[in-house]
Amino acid sequence: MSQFESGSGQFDSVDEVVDALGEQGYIADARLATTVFLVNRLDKPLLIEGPAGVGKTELAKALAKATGRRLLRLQCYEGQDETKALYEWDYGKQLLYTQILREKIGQVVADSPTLEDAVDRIGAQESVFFSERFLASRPLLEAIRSDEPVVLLIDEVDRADEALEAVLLETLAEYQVSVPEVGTFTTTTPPYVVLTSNNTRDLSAALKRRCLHLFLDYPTAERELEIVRSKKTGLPDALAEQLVGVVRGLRELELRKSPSISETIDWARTLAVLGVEELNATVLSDTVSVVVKYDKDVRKAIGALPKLVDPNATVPEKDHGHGHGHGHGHDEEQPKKPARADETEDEVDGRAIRAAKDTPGRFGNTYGSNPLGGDTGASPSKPPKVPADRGKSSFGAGLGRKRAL
Amino acid sequence: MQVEEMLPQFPIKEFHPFPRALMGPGAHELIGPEALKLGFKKTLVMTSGLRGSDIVHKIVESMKYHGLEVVVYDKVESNPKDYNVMDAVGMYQQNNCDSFVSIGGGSSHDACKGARVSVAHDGRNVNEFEGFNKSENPKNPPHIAVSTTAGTGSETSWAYVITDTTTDPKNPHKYVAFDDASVTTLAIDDPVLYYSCPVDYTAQCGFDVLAHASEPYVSRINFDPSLGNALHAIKLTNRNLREAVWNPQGYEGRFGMMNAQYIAAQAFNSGGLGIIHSISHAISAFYDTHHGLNNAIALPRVWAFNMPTHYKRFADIAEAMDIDTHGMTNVQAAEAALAASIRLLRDVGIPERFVDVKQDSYSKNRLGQGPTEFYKGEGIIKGDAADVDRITNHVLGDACTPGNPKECTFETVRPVVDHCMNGDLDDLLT
Repeated sequence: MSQFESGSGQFDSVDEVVDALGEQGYIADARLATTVFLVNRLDKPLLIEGPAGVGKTELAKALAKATGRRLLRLQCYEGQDETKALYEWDYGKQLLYTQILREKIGQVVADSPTLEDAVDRIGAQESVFFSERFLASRPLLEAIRSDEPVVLLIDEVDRADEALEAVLLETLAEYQVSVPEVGTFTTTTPPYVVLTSNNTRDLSAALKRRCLHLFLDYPTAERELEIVRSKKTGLPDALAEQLVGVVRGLRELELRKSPSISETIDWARTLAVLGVEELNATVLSDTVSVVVKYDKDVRKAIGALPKLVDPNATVPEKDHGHGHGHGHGHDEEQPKKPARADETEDEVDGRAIRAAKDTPGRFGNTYGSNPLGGDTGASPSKPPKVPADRGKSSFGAGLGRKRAL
Repeated sequence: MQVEEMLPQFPIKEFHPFPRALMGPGAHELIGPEALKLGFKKTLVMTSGLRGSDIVHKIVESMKYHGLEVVVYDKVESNPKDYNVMDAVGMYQQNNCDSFVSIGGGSSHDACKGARVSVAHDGRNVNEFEGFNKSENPKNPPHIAVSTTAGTGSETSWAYVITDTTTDPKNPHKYVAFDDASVTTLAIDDPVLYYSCPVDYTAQCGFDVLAHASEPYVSRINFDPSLGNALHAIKLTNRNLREAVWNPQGYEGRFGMMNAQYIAAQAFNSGGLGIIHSISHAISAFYDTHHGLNNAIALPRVWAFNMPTHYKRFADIAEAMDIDTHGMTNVQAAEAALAASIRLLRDVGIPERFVDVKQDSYSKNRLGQGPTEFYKGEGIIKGDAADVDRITNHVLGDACTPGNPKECTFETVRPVVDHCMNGDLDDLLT
C-alpha cells in the first residue's frame, strides 16, 4: 500500500478496499466496503450502528492501519463534557510558569505607580499564558490540529450526552475548532471520522444527517466462518464451520444478549485449547458460558444445544433439583417449579435461615427507602433494654387501672 | 450519645406513587379493553377461585370475548404460600404468558405480585425478595388487579405478604416484601363485585382497613402527605362498616368501604405500619387465620399499647370516629377512640381474643385443615406461654415493627401478644 504511506491516498475501487482491509485481518462484505470507499472519497463521517461485538470498533482500527493513518480514539461515557473531548487549558503548567517567572513579572510591574497601572501591564501580557503552548489538546482538537492525517474513532457515541453531541456536530460540520483566546484551528487533511453506537438511545437527526450511515448486523455464515479462519484460532476447519452454525442457532433463541462475532472467536479458541476433536452437546454445554453471559440465557442455550448440534438428537430428561417438597401431595402431577439452581434440600440450613428472621431490628433504620435494592444500609439500631417488670406496665398504662385524666 | 443519634430517626420519608385506578360500579367490565390497551396477549389469571360466585367466570369470559388468551391459576390459598406463587410462575412460563390479572382479595393480589417479581428475575424463589426493594429488575410483566373484598388495598400498594413454608417447614414465616416494582399497572375497584362477599369476611376486611388507616397515622415514619388519607379512611370505615356488614346488599355501605380501603392503602403506602400488622402476620404464619380477623383482635390492644406516645393523634382519630370531643382532654379523647374501636368490633361480631377463634367462627377457617403438614391437627389456637414467646419473636423480626411509634422489645411486646391471646377487651376500658 505504497500510496498510503502519507496517509492521504485514495482507494481506486471497492475491491481495493476489501483487499486493504483483508490485509489487516478485517473481512469486509461488499456493502461495508462500499461505505468505506465513500468515506475515503467524500470525506464524510461514518456512523456505524449495530449490536455489541460485530466489529464496529475493529473497522476503525483496520481502516487506520490500511490507510497508514494514526488512530485517535475518543471513548464516550455518560456525563462527559467538552473539556474532555475538545481541549483544556493546562492549568498546572500555567501556574508552574508563573512561579518560575515571578521575578520577571516583578520587573514588568516594578515601576508602575499605581495598582491599576500594574494590572493593565499584566493584562497586556496575558496572551502569553493563553497560547498554544498551554493548550492541552483532547482527541477532537488533536484530530483537527494534527499535521499527519488521522482516523478519529468516536466510540459508543450513544453514551454521551446531547450536549457533547452538539459539540461533535459543530466540529464535524466544518472540521474546525475555535479556541476564543487563540483563534480557529482548521484541518489540513480532513480526518476520517468513524462514530460507533450501540443504540442505547436515539441519536439526533442532525448528527445522522451529516454522516454516512451503516448498520452492521451479525454477518452471514460464510463471512463469519471466514472471520473465524482469519483469526487463526487453531480450530479445525470442519469444526469451525459446525460451530458457526451452532452460534447462529443460538442467535435465533431470543436471548437477552445474543452471542456476537467476538464471542464466536472466543469459543473457537476455547475449544481449540481444550483440543476438542468433535463437537457434541456435552462439550458445548460445558463451555457455553464463554458465549452466553446470563443465567437464564445459559439455561435456554443448554436446552437448545443438543438440537443445534444434531437435529435428530433426543434430549435426555435432566433432573435438576427444584425447591422443597411441600408435603401437600401434588408434586407428581405438578410441573417442575422454577427455583434457584443452588437450592438444596438442607433442613438444617433452612432452620438457621428461618431462625435469623426473628432478629429484632434486622431492617435497620432505613424504613423503605433503598434505591439500590441492596441491604438496608443503616446498621440496626439497638433497642433499649427493658426489664421484664417494666415491660408489664408498658402496656395500656397498666391495663385499665383507673387513671387521672 | 453521638451527634448522629440526635438526628431524626427517618430523616427522609418516601412517597410511593400509586397505579392508575378505575373505581365505581361497572369498572370490572372495562378489563378487556384496558388489557388490550396495555398490550396483553396471553394472560395468567390468579385467583383463590372465589367459589360460589361467578365473578372469575364472568371476568375470564369477558376477557376472552375481547380476544385475549387466558390461563387460570385458581389455587391461591388464604395467606398465600410461597409454593402458590412458584406454581403460578411455573404455569406462566410454561404457557409463555405476558401479563397477569389477579381477581380476589389480598391473597390473590399478593401472590400475583410475588409471581411478577419472581418472573422478572427468571423464576428465582419469591422468598428471596423479603424486605425493602429487594428486586433488581424494575421491569416486570403488566398486572391488572381486580378487587372483590373491601380491605386489602393490595391492588394499590407496594407491599405484598407471602408465607414462607419451605425454608423451615416446621416453623413457617409470614413476611412482607415492600417493592416499588410490585405495584400493579392498573387497579380496578368495583363495588358490584363486593356484594357476594360473606358477612364475616366483610367485617374482618373492614378491620384491616381500620388498621391500615390508624397505623400510618401514628407510625414513626408518618408524614403529612399520608395523614389526610389516614383520617378520612377511618371516618369512612366508622360510618360504613356496620352498614356493609349487616346490610350487604345496600349500595351505600359497600361503596363507602370500597373508598375507605383504597384511601387507607394509600395512607400506609407512604406512612408505614406498626405492630398490629406484625402480630397479625405472626398469628397467620402459625395458624393460617384470616389477616383481617387478626388485625381486628390486635387493634384495640396495640392502640392501648401505643397511646401514651401519641395521645393527641389518637384524639384526632376519635374525632374521625365521630366522637364529640368538645371539652375532653387529649387523653380522654384517645380513650374514647379506643372504646369506639372496641364497640365497632363488637357491633360487627368479631371474636374478641384469639383463643375464642374456633373452626366454625368464620366461613373459611383453616384451623386444623391447613395446606401443609405444619397446620394439620392444630385445630385450636393454643395461646400458652411457649406460643406467645414464638409469636413475640416473629413480631420482633417483622418488617412493619420498625415503624411502630413505641419501642418494641421482647419485654414490652410480649404482654400485648399475651393479651391478644387470652386477655379480656373490657380490661382496656376505663
